[in-house]
Amino acid sequence: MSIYNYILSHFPIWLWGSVLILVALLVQTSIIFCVRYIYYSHSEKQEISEIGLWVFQVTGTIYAILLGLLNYVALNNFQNLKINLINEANQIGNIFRIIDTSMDRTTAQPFEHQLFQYLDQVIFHEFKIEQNGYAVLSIEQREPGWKYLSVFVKSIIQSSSINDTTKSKILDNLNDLYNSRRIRINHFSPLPNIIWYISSISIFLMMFNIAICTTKSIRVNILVSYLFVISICLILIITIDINKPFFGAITLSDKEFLYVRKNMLNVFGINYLTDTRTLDSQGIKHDHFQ
Amino acid sequence: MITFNEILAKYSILTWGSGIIFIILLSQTVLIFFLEKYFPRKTMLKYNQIILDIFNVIGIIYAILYALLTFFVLNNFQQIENTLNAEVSTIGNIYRNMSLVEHENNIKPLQQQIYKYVEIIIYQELPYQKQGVINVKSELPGWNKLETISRMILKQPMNEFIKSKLIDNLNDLYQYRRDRLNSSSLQLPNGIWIITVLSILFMLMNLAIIGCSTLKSKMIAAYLLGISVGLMVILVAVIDRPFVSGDYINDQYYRNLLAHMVNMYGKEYFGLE
Repeated sequence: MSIYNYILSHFPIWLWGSVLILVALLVQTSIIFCVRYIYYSHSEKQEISEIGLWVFQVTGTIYAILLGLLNYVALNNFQNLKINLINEANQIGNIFRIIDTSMDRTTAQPFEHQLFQYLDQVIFHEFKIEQNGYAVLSIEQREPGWKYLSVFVKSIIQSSSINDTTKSKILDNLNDLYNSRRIRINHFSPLPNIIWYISSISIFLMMFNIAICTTKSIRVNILVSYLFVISICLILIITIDINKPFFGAITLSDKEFLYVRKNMLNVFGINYLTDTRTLDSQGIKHDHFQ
Repeated sequence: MITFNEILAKYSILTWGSGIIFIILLSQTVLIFFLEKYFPRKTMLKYNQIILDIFNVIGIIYAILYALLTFFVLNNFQQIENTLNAEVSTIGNIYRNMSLVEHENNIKPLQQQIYKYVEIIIYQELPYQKQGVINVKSELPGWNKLETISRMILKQPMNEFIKSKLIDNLNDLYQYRRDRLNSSSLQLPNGIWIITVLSILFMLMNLAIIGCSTLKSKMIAAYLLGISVGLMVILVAVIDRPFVSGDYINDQYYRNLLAHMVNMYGKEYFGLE
């Protein structure tokens, strides 16, 4: 896990946000004093202030639109990922429903049990790991989930008591489930790093620019610069937070999965779904898994 | 003559990015000193208001243009990432659906071919795409492998509905593969780049004729603008060519899939050591 992800997932937004603003204000203060050191005569201050203001308006417009759009892209990605989570939970619910409605209880129980185990794996292991700062799950972290699904698929296909139409329907839902799952566990940062590097340099340039705009009075200079820095930092903080959808203040929740799990439990009860054995035709219990 | 894509592929972003900013600052300096002869900065002081008003309007027009260009290329970038993800998902679906074929002896050769196909993408096609030299010749091994897989699936005796699913998956895979290969040549048309470069030149020229009592103020303002605009150009160029410039489109999706296959069946299954 990178330090960046660690900070975002383990510290509250107000803490790292305040530190970011504080650092930015410190940098801004040093810039202001540097500029005042370069421009000591009153006429020079006035002149650079005028020209600097025009440049600030142009570059300010570029970055204002850019930051706004970046925020929009991050928000859009967040929303897409949320829809993907809902789809994933829905697919599990759909498969569960198909099994429940198309098979008798004895045939259905092992499959429902396997699906329930997979759902538990997603909610209590994978989601927790993702919320702990792992935006992309490692092979070891994702493999148990895949294995549950593989066992489930194989047992569905090898089962002679399920007809081809049901198998085909379950497979269609499984394909969608696999796609949604892959999007969730492979979720890379939606905004490429280069955008953050260039935005940081640009913000630094803007901070320099605003420092030269108001050199006439030190009080006005500091007040205006600080206002600017705080405003920009607030936008950055919100964009950084949205850009990491699994952790931070604005985060995706596992409530869709929990809802499906609750429904399963309501319909069948915990004993039915967690019993690892099933009845055969003679009423003797056997293990589901070898 | 070396193309822009070749420069992007050959040098690091720091090198060519600094090059772009250096060229902009150099042009800025040359323009300021050249225009100083015809429009001396002290004489131009009385026209400052008009020049700066015009500069403001032109600047805002171009500012919106650059920001929207960045947004546009960022959108394309994300579509390419989605295509890669969809391709990996489809390969995964084919691989999984193959495991449903009844006889185990028939499954192994099919899955081995899929493994080799993913290897071709990782070790041959993506490096070519990163160098910006993807062409009919470099695409051929991948297409051949896919053709072999299609033939094997069609000839293999298997349950009809599994075969039908595999053919559907293959159709999707062909589509995503084609999208990925095409996306490496998708970039902003040259006309847009020419207009962008000209607009930068006009903006620099506008600032170069501003009236000023000292050269220092003019240079600082001009360099600030130059670096800001240069950064935007670098950003658009990088995102516009995600395969070529740096590792922004990477093979991690495919590598994860291979690791998953090996994890499920073991290295021996695929003939690995």
